[in-house]
Formats: sequence, structure tokens, C-alpha cells
Amino acid sequence: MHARAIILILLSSSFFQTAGSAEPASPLLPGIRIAIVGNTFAEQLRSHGYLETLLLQHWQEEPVSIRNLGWAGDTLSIRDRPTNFPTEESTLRDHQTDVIIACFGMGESFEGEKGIENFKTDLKAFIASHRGKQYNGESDVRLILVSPIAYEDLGELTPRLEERNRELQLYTDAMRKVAANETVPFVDLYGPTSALMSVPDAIPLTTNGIHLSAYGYWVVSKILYDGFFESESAIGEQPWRINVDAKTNMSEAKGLSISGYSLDRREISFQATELANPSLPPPTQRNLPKALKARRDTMVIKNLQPGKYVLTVDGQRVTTASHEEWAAGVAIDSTPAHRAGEAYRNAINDKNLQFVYSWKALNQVHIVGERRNSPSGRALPEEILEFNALANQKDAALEGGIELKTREWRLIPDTN
Amino acid sequence: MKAFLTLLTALAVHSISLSGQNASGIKTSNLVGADLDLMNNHDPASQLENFELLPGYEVNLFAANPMFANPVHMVWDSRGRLWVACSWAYPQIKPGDVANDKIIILEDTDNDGVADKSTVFADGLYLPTGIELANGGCYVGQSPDVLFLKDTDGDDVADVRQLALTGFGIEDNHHSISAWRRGPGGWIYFQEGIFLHAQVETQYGVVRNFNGGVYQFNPRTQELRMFCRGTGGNPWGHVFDHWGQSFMVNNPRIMYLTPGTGSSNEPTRLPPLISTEKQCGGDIVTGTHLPEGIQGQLLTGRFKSRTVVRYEFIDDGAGFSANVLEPIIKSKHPNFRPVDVKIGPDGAIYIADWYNSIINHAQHDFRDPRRDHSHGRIWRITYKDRPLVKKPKLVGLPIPELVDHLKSPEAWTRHQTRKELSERNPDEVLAAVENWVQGLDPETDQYAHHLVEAMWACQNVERVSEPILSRVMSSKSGHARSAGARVIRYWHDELSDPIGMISQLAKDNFPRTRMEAVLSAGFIPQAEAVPAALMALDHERDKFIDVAIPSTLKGLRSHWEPAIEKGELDFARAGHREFAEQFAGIGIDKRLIALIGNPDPPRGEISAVKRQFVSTPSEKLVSLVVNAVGKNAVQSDAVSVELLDGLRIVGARTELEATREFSTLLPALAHSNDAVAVNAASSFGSWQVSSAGPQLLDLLRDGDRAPEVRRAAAIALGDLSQTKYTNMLKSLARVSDIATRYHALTGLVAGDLEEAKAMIGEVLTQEPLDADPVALVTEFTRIRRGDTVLAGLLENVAIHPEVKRSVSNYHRQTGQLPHRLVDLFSDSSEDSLSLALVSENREALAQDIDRFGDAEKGEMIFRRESLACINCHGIGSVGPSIGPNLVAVGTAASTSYMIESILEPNASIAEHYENMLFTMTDNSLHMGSIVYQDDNEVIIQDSALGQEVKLPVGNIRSKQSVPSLMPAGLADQLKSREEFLDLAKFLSVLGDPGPFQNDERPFIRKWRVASATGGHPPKDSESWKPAYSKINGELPSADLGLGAPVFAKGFVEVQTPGSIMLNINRLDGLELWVDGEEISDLEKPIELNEGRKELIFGLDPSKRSDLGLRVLLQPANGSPVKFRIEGGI
Repeated sequence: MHARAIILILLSSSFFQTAGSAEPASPLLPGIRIAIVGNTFAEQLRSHGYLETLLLQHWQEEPVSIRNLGWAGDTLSIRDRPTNFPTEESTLRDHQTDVIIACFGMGESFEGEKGIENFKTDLKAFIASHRGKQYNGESDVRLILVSPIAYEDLGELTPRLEERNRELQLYTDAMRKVAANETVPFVDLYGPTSALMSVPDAIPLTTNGIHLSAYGYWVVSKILYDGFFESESAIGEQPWRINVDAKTNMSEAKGLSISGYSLDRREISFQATELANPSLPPPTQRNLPKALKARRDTMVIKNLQPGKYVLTVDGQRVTTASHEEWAAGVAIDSTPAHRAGEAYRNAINDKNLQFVYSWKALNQVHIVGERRNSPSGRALPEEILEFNALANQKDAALEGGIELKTREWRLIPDTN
Repeated sequence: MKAFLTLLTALAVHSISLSGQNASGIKTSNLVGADLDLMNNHDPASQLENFELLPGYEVNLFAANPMFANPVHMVWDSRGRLWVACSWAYPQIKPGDVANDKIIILEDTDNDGVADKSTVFADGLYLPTGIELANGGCYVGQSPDVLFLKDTDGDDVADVRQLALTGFGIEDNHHSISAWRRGPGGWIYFQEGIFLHAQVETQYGVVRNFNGGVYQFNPRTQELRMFCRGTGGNPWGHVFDHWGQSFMVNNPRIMYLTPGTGSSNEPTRLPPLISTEKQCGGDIVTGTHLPEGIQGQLLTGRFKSRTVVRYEFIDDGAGFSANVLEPIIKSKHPNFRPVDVKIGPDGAIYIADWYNSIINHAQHDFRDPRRDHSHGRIWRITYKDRPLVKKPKLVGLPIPELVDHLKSPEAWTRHQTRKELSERNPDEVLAAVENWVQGLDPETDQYAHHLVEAMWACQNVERVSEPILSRVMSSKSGHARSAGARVIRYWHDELSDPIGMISQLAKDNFPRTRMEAVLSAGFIPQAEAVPAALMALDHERDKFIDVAIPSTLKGLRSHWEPAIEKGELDFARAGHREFAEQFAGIGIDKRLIALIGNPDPPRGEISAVKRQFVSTPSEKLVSLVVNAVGKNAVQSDAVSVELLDGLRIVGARTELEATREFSTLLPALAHSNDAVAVNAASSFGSWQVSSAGPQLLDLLRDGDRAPEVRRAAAIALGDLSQTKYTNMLKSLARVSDIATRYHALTGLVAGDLEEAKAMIGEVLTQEPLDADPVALVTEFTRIRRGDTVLAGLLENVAIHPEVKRSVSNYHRQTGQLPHRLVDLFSDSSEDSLSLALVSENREALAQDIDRFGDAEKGEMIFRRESLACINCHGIGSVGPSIGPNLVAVGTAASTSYMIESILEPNASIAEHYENMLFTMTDNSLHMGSIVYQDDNEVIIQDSALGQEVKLPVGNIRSKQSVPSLMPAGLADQLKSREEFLDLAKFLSVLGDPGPFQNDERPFIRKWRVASATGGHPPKDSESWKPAYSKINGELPSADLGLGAPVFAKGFVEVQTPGSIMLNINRLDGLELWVDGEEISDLEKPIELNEGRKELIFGLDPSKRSDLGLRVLLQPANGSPVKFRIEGGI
């Protein structure tokens, strides 16, 4: 079975479900303003930027604007904040929020089976607390619920493995049910991550069983993104795929359009016009499990003369592989477009950092808390406004995404 | 002339560098003369010249900028290299800046005591407050995150960066997760302080904490636990002693943490061992290089007064007591700021010097231009006559050889050995350690400690060794056994009979072992752990074990309470069962009866029973109390007072109705003890017992009773809410003697507020004669918005000047008058000194203070009773703690800050002294500063009662911040502007090097003075009036009374017996009795046994003229004596 299909099957049983009725359309629309709230998983989305890169590039000309209001350790019912910290509602209004992506259930799940009813009650209360609120000043806010991920087996680091996964499954199911009853879109991360954690060639997704590594965020961001847009006719993210047959002179491509071939069995060159955004490279040196290989941009070249070949794009070296490897398909993720994509992701992370410096600045006691009147910290309130302005500037600069170009691709024998 | 020129130049330079800056944060005294020269002299030689060390020690520069800068925290690796967390970004980055703090490795490759290599291990950090090494890498605390950084390719530059934990408090980065230290068992400890909220999601659950605590993190399993909660404050140091006991530098306090580490997981209020000045970092003196005399002492950096001070710990029951000792190093250089101290691989003492003329971000502006971002120093102190330690080679050593280093006399080596072992194969380590233990000679001195090291080594690899633990448990050393008892909390799961071990250790001869056993029991989730722990009751208890026992009982509550109720739990003795039952609240009536019959019950028992009564009142208990007090069956007045107070509280809250039985209580109104009568009256009021009306009325009218009794009767009458009595109060308020009018009107505030409002203005225009109007005025402030109401009523009233005087005086003494009323009752005229000073140019005033103020005169003004400074502020070891202790106030705060604090006390309120007003659900009010708070209760220093009061969180309706307790207008009590300059000057130099520095040598500072006219020291305590020494240790003659012979007594607590020598300013006209025994020769050693000693000096003024008395105690040559001079109020 095709790897992509496995992921699709993993996903299809899970998200945007409503009991028997038509699936609610995704509340994600061009140009909207999104807030992410929830636990450590939600909060750390901002450090890696994979999900946000996918979402911002989805409508490149009219991108969404995202503020991450996640807070480590948050649960639906306990969200400790510094004294006098601005309420979530005021921040949602400041951001003119249209859609809230809410990630809960990890901290709550430690209450086990006996905590399930409380969890459902808290979740309903959470949904009710936002119902009818117009943070954007015009229309009711929409919610998307996201389940916790599964608990990964990391040996000594991860005690009570089966029990904890049972609990996480229970909380995910509870969330699914409440979401369905309240007709709130829901994305299940438990199912797909659980499946991915158990494939034979899995690379660990987490650092401690419950928190994703950079690689984990790369993977899970794709699952989330697919989940958000699954009900839409056009699947959002499409990896580039170039198939070339050096013998038959046949070529086809997805995500790019190819022209100006010049090829023989020793050397191939063509112009490729980038139609879709490049897929960001996975932050790992290890071989991806089968199920995920297909999520990378790939070029397959069949029937090359035996030997090693190097791919250059606009004169820049991208990768080297043997004719067998080319025939099996080689991941392409360091072309100039990919580098631009990584730079774009870093710009997103920087925007988020400036927002953190503003919204969640250190020394809150001197800003809003117990020492807010202290003369020593009088510069801070002004400075956090400046940080916020910086975040807004950087957000505006993200508009338009990366530039897609027509570039010269060349495959030549590797003489090194 | 030269100095004057320097000053002019300095001011010129200064104003240039500050152009566009508000200069109010600048301490002008820093700009005078030599200080400024030094401040701008960044040559390390200028610092070296200005160090002063204990005899025998010398100091050299180990490393300096540009190898690193702004050091925050240091840790040694097992290769003997020093890792330093450095922060350029402190206190906060500015918009547009990129945080680029670093971890730098300093190395002394040629072992000459000077670092010659520096490597940036990691950069791009933002305010790293602590680092510790484990798992082949480095954990970095930078709130809210803990990162794990690791170098995998051997270039000493981190190439792995992972988020290990996140969610720690971000509220105040000077006390966010810091003081990192690997403990002997391999857990890493770090701590945070007051105001911080943390919520950290881990695979073991979500760890939440508020308001400070100590975390422990197991790098092997990545489990995060709270080691201790509720410590609050600014926790900047944590050390483990030779046997693994935990001490915290939690400023300004030094705390012994172990008793608070029980399983209840609740905040614990730990009494400090000693409280002095704020300090940062620290280490325990160990190793063969440093001399015997200072072994085991805690070294910590006093960044304010620029010293590294020493503390000694002395065994005291299950815990310790502590004394502060002369600093090992002092500096006059304004930039020397010791923030961390660590003993190094060569046995020398290494000191991280933050190096900046200003410190902290509370006292100085975040953007103060003098914040230094380019300097830093590490100093190294060695002892001249002793050889250095040779750095051991540990890395790469085979396990058995490594294990043998656990024997090393150097704590540094043993620590690094355990760390090295923690990264080796656990099973091989276990086998090697068990094998090593077999080969140890049980007869050697250090055998017990070797066993404990072996046990810790096993803990470091997460392996349990019952054979080693058994040996530790049967060791001859109590210290070893206590360490063994502690390990059970981590190992119980895999031990064959942990409960049996606990019962054995809980009755050990050594008190600390018993306490550790009790604490460990709490972690064994079985009902039977409780009877085992309570074996500790067979021995005498002390304040330390009394913190441990409740924690264990609470921690295991869900296990043992059901079992005891079902009768399924066996105890070794009936007394143990009773103790557990009492704890569970089973048998409160029995306890109450016992208390009633006890003529001299312990304070703790009275408050425990009262608390229980208030929290679970029943008709039966109410009846018991009413009958016992009414029928005079209570054997102790203290019990009657507290039970009646409990009765009053119950009356205000409960659904219960007063029964006819309450008439039994009526005789209590006539009780000769005023406090009993007051509380009886209040109880009748809160229960609304109208049948008590006539007696209450009699009491109110009885001019022979104390004013507070009559007032309580009036308030109770008001509380009855019966027209009959309200009318009585009205007529008494209208026509009576002035005292009765005051009382009646006070009652009306409760009974008929409108009527009281109508009359208050007229009453306050009358002359008070002998009566005191203060209680009437403050009664208004005890109702909600009462201050606003009263202020409105008095707006156009010509209050009698004597009334104003009384009320103003009350406010000066206590600071209790609400803001809105202060002006109304102000007795100062328009041209008051305060107003004149407030309107002056602040900078010019500050300069006048620095130039013309006379600190010596200022000190005497500070001590003046009419000014009331000493009613609230202590200095060093003596004085009250209502306001901040001022011992080092001059070192941290600017002169302008000083001016502001005196003239406008509300403008800047020191941390922890913010005055809060609590409105309770029963509408009562409490005001004071919070001394402790957790999820269940808030403890405040109640400013009205002058004592700590516990407020259950559930009963607090609201809380709000109210103005400072320090009354404005204090300056009006000064005679002239000169006096103000003197007072402010005194405060601004307090703690600075020089005559007003914090001198902690053991002077007697707290005195009781009595007239010697009778010839013998008086026996009754009333004849002795409190007095305190000046900063220089001298009790001035003014406090001794001029002319007539007097006695002055001081107290010393002797912890280890031995002989002392007295060092007295002059012996003429002086006699001395120690505990009643006359000492004939004051120049000879005096032998003292353990306990509290009373030293009474007789002074003959004819031979001393106006000389004061200055008494310093010193150990006699070679004597082991340890003692502590009594301080406080």
C-alpha cells in the first residue's frame, strides 16, 4: 500500500467527525486570524514553526495570521498565570481572533478514568465560554479541538506505558464525542501518532514520551494540517514529485512544471517552474520510515547509466546519489527554494519570539504584578508594546510567502 | 582640594553620561572621592588591593573578561574545568536586541591557578540562571525552560539542544529557577522564589507550584518532583553537607530544608536557622587544602556588602542551629559583587564576581546606564601554609578504580566520582560498589561515610542495594544511619521490608535518624507506614521532627485514616494510636476536656484544640466550652481566653443557635482577667444572646473596669441588634462622661451605624480628658469602606486638637490609620518640615545629604522614641520585623530612594512588606503584610494585633493592597532640616564599608535595663526596659539613664559548652553576674554550660561618666565553645 494512503487512512477515521451528519466545513479561511491555545504541545508549536509555515503558505497571497497563546502545563480547568496577567479574552480581542485552535487533554489525562466526566464537563464549559464571542468585532469565533498525542515507548523514561496510552485514548475519545455533540471540528492526533510510533522503522517523535522533538513537530504538523483541510476538495500540501526515464525520454512532475529538456543517459537538464511550495526537510539525519518518505519532495530517475550523479539547481549543488538510488527515488530538500522555505520558517519563529517577548515577557511582577509600581521597572510596559509592534511588523512581512521561480536543474555525473 | 576637583570632574562626566536619563536612580555618595575612582578602575589590580582576608589566606585572579563576563553561576566538571553561566541580557533584553547569553568553559591547563583557556560551549541563551552537568551534557535553567545541551563531536561546543522541561515561573527572573546543584543521590536540585507560578507537564504528571519551592529532577528517569514547597523568598543557594543534609540560602534567611521535604506535598513553613543579610550562591567548606577550623562552614556571597561570609552549623536535636562568622574575604571595591562560591578541584575557594557597581533590578532601574555588560571576574582563595590538592583523573577510569575514589578525603573528588559513575553501566557499577564495600575495613574512621558514599553511588545509577543499606543502618554513626533512613523514600519499592526498617530507624538514638525515618515513611503508600513512623514518639520531640510528623501523616492520609476508623491498624503503643487519632480529629471532645483540666497546657495544644473546635463546631463542643468557662472549671486563663475566642468565631459563622445554656457563661463577664471578660462579651455579641443584655450594660457603665472591657461590652450590645439596647447605647453616647460616650458610640457602629454617623462629629470636637479616642476612630475603619464614610463625616468638623494629637500619635507609632484619614487628624501645621522637604529639588536634597548629613547624629535620631523608626524596623540581629530590616539598606538603595522612603513611604514599598487589607466572609477585616501563603491559608503579620494571624483562604472574601504601614509625615517629628539630612545620611551609609557596616561579631545588642536603686537586680520583668546597642555594638549612656546606677542584662544561648572571654570597652565601674553568680574577674575566661545564659552587668556611673557599654563575646583560646547572642526584640 502506498505510504501516503496509510497516513490518509490513519487520519480519515479521526477528524472532523460528526455523528452521521455532514462534516462541518473547515473554519480555516484565507486571511483569518488564528489563536492557538492549550498545553505544552500547543505552546511549543511556536518554537518549530512547521505547522505555521504550512498554514501561512496555504493562502500565500492572503495568509492567515497566527498568535500562539499556549502555556506549558495548561489544562482546561487550571491555567496558572502571573498575578494580574492580561486575560485570554483580552489577548484574543487584541488579535481580532477569528478561529481558536485548542489543544488539551495531556495534563488532564493523568486523572485517569475517574477524571473523564470532569474532563467532558470542562470541555463543554470551555466551548460554551467562547460561544457567541466576537473577538474580531464582527463574527462569532470558531473553534477547532485537537487531541493529545500518544505516549511513546522510550524505555526507562516512560513508565506505565500501556496504562497511560489507555488513558490518552479515553480522553481522545471523550473529546471526539463532545466535539461531535457540539459540532466543533476535531483533529485526532492520538490515533495517527500511536500508529506512527509503532511502525517498525519508526524514529522517535518525542524526547520524553509526551513532548515532540523537532522531528516530531515536523511529522505531527503535517498530520494536523491534513486534518484541518481534509474535508476540502483540494489537499493542501503536495510534495514535489519528478519522474524521469532516461531511456524513454519521458518525464512528469507534480508541484513543478518542467520544460526545455535536454537529456541523454549521462546528463539531464531542464527548467522547472515551481508551482507548489517546497516541502521543508525533516530535521533528522536518519532514514524516514516508509510511511513518511512520500511526504518529502522526491525525484525518481530511471535507467541512468551506472555511476554517481549530482543534482544542481541554478548551479547550486543539491544532492548526490547513485543510479540505483535515483531509480528508487531521492529526497530533494535543499534546493534554493527549500532554503528560502527554511528562511521563511525562521522568520515565522522570530515573529513568534518577538510576540513571546511582548505577551509573556519575563519579570511580569514589574509589568503587571506585585511590583508593577516599582520605579525600577518603569521602562518595561513601553518596551513590551515595542516588542508587540515588532511582532506585528514581522507578521506583515510574512505576507506573500516565498518567491516561486523557474530554475535550471541539472543532473551530471559526479566526478568527485 | 584634590578631592573636591575629583568630585567636580566626576559630576561633569556623570552628567554627560546621563544626558537624557533620569538621574534619580543614581546614588550620589557613589560619586564622592575615592569610590568613584575605584568604580571606574577596571584593572583587576585595583580590586586585589582592596581585598581583606582572614589571616593565612591569599587571593588571586583566576579568570576575567574578556574570557567571559557577567557570571551568574558556576559548576565544575569531572575534568576540573569550570563551567560558567553568563548573562549579558540581565535584567531583560530591549526591543530589537537578540538574546545571546552564554555558557563558557574555563580551563587551567597548566595548573597554575589561573585559567588559560576559555570555550563558548553554548550561546544564544536568554538569562540562564543555573546549570548542572548530567547525561554527558549540561542542563540549563532559563525560565520558563530547562534546556539540555550536549556536545557530541568533542569540540566542547554544544551541538544538541533539547527542551527538557518547560513551564517554570517567569514573574521575576532574579529568583526564577536557580542555585542548581546535583545532590549526593544524583538528583538535580533547583529552586524558585516568591510570586512565581509554575506548571510543568512531565510524563509523570503535571507539577505545579506557587510562591517558591525546591524542585528535584532525576536526570536518569527525567522525573520532576517538588522536594519542598512554600519556601518563598529569594532562594539563591542550596548546599548539601557531608552527610547529605540540605541547607538553603533563602534570603535573608538560612534554612535547614530537610524537615520540610515530607510527602504531604503541601507548603511547609520552615523556621529559619538565622536571618541576616541577602546572599547569593554558596558552598560548604571541605577538602584537605583548607584548614580544620573552617571545615563544614557555609560560604556565601553578600553581594550588597561585598563580602563572602561564613556560617557554622551546630547539631541541635533533629536539626541544626547556625551562627554567622566573620567573612573570609571583604572588599571596599564598589564593583565586587560575589554571587557564587565553589570549592575547586585543587581545594581552593572560587568566587564568581558579577562585577558591577549596581546590583539587582528592584533597587535600580532596569535601564540604569551603569549596568555593566562587559566585565566579570573569578577569584581564587588559597591557604598559604597548606598544599593544594592534586587534580584527580576520573574521566575514562575503569569502574572499580573509579569506585575507589569514593574514599577520597576530597568532597570534590567524591562528588565527581558519583557523577562519572552515573554515566556508566548501572549493573556494572552496582556490582563494583557492592564488591568495594565487602573489602572495606570496618575499623577505619571513615568507614561509616564510605558506606554512605557507596549507597549514594547506587542511587546515582538507579539501583537498589539492600546489603549496603543494611550496613548503613547498623553503622555506629547516627549521621550515617540518618542518611540511610533518607534513602528509603527512594528505594522502598524494592526493599524486602521497608516498614520494618522504618520502625527500627524511627526509634533510633540519633534524633536526625528518627526524623529522616518519619519523612521516608510518608513515601511508602501503606497504612502500616504510620505506626512505624510513630515509633519516633518514644523519644523526645523537637521543632524539626514536629514539622516532619504531620507531613507524613497528611501524605498518607488516604491510607491510614480509613484503616484506623475500621480498627484495622495496629500501633506499638496506646499513645501512638492516640496521637494518630488526635491528628485525624478523632476524640476532640476528650482533648478539650483534658485541656480544660490542665493548669499549664502547652501553647500548641491550646491552638490545636481551638482550631479543631472552630473548624468542626458542634452543639456538644459549644456546650462544653460554655459550661467549662462559665462554671470557672478551666484551670488556665490562657485556655479560657482562646476557647472564648473560638466560641466568638463559631458564633459568627455557624448555623448553630445559642441555647439557654449560654446563661451559664454570664459570670465570665465579671472575670478578673480582662481578656477573659472581653472575649466573653464578644461571644455574647457574636451569638446574639439577648439575655446577656443587662449584664453587658452594667459592664459598659462600670467605670472601674478597663476601657477595653467596657468597649467590648458596648460592641456586644450593638451586635445584639435589639432596639432596646441600641437605644441605650444612643442615650449613653449622647449624655455621659466622655469615656462612656466613646464606648457607647463604638458599640453603635455595630448596632446602628446611621446613629453613630450622626453623633461622631460632635463627640470628636470634645476634649478627650483622660479617655482615648483612638479605639472609636479605628472602629470605623474596621467596617467596610469605613474610612471613606468617616472622612466624609469629618470633612467640616473642628476636631479637638487633643483628639488629633492622640490619633496622629497612634498613627505615627503604628502606621495603622487609613490613608484617607491621615490628613484629617494631622496635627501639623501648614509649614511642616515634611511639606517643605517634599517640595525641594530631590537631587539637590540628595547632594546635601551626602555632603552635610552626619550619620552619627542620624543614628541617634533614628533611635529616638518619638520618631518611632525603631517600633517597626530592626537593624541586623535586633529589633522588630514589621518593616524591612535596614542592616544593609544603604548598600542597595540610592539616597533618593531613601528620601522618598521617608517622605513618601507609599511611593516605594519593599518586597514582602506590601500592606494588604483582607475582607473576610464574616465581614471582619485584617490588615498586614503577608508572611506566608499557600492554597489553604494566608499568614499575615497583623498590624493591628502585632502578631501573626492565619487566615483560611476559604474565608477571605477579597484582598486589596493598601498604603504603606509607614506613616507619612514622620519628618515632622524632626527638629530641623539638618536633622533630616543626618537621618537620611545614616540610612544611606547603613551597611557600607566603614563605621556603619554590618558588623556581625557577637556583641550583645539586645539589652534589658533596670534601675539599680534597690541594690539588687529586680526579679519582675516589668522593671526591665528594652534597649538596643548602636551599629558599633555600644549601648549608649543615654539608654542607660544618666547619673544613677543601673543594671543591664543580655542573653546568650550556649550550644556547645566551653569558656568565653569578654571584650568590653572599659571595665571601670562594672560588675557582672552570669545566671546569678558573680564573676570576680572580667578579664578571665568564663566557663559556660549549655543553655540560655543571662549576663547582668551592674554599672556605676560615677566611674564611667557618660561612657556606654560595649560587650563582645569571644571563645577563650582553644575552647570548643559555640554560642549565639540573643537578638530580636
